[in-house]
Amino acid sequence: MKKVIKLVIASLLISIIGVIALNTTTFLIPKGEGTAALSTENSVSGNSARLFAPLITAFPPSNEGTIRIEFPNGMTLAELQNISWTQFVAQGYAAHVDVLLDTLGDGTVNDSLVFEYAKVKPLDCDDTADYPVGPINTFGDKGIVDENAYAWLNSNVPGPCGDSNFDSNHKSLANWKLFYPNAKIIALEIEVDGWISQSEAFIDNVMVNGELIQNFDGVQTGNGQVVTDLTLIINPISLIFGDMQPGESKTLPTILTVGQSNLDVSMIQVTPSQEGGIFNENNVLFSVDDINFADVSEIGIINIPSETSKNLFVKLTIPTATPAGPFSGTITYTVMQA
Amino acid sequence: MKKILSLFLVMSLLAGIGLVVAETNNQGAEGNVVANFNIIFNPQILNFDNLAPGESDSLANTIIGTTSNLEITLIQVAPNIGTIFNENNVMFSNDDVAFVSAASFVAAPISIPAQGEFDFFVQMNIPVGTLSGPYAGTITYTVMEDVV
Repeated sequence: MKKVIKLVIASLLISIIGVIALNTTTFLIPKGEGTAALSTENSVSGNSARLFAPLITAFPPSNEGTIRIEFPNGMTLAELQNISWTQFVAQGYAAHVDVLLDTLGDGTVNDSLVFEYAKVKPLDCDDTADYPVGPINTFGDKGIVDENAYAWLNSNVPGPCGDSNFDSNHKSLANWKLFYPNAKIIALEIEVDGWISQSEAFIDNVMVNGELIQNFDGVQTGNGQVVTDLTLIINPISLIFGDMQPGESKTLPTILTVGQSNLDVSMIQVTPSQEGGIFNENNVLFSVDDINFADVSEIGIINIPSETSKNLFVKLTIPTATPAGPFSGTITYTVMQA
Repeated sequence: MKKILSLFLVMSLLAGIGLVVAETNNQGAEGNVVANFNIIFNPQILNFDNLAPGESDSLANTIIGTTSNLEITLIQVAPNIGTIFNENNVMFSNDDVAFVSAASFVAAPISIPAQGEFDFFVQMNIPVGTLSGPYAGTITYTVMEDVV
């Protein structure tokens, strides 16, 4: 009768909840008589981007200073949660953001959502009485671009609030997502323009979905997370003890090989199957030198450096008076980073 | 004859007055053009994947120039958190295939034309046996004016 012991390793699965980082490319683009350039003025730290646009007196061209942010890996409107930036409004009308959309799936800009100071809060719409100046976060008392912020559609009329045509295309970001469920974002353009007045703003700390995209400081950082390689290869995967009589012992060699991390075998468990019950922690002993055997409670931690192997000897003793019959069981090795 | 002489005298006077009026006055001008060393990093923060020891991850990189022609002459990599974000483990490539150290990467001229861009790849390699945990660091690019 052949007695087969099946060995399995319990896989330790580590679930790491990571933040999906955005991949962006930032450009400074002047249009018409506008300016977009790095500056050391009015920055939160280091540099800012100075956006300047003289009053548009003859169109075209449109005078604009623009920060254009593209997403090389793509981004959908559905994925957009929020946009914010710090700005120092030096003169004129605060910077706004245009979300350039591909609504037709043709890879081009088909329309844009305009989030601007005077239109993001429908209950305080066309608030021209106190245009902010100086340092503010995004739209100051009107908040940032988030699910509740309202945008108007660039292809439609630009206002005023209350105009039925305008209102029909003036929705919150959450509702625009429902309206354009498959839209892709081609780019974000944070800009000042000269439609209302000559305007100038210094932009810093641009954030999308809570992640810092650009602070114009000329410093690049990298970061990440090292996770443990818990690979443990067991040879042989099945220990075949063969026929044994009561009172007899047999030792079989096992080779434990680890992957790229230093590992400790911190615990060994021996579990008998329903097929016979003798393959248990009383009858199965372990040794690293084939001389000194110990049970699972005494074997201690077995350290295995990365990309190396360690011999382990498994000795099974059949208790006297054990009835004849098959037996099987499982040895479970628990590993952790050394 | 008398009229002719008078006319000649008047013309001579006018000519003399004209010379005085046409006297030139020069205005000097001088200044100094200084290079604009500003560049914009894209991405500003390189967020690498979660990596096990022995694994690597590369990210596309674009440096946008501003108003001067610039050349990258030095790239330095320094760890901030942990020790592995260093010049042995952070490598650079033009094609996302062949990666070299920062020193080797700048051995060939790297130009950033004014209002142009330079595209490349940055790779993070996790050495075998590295302990799990976060790491971070800074890449510093030294630029000078490209006068070629």
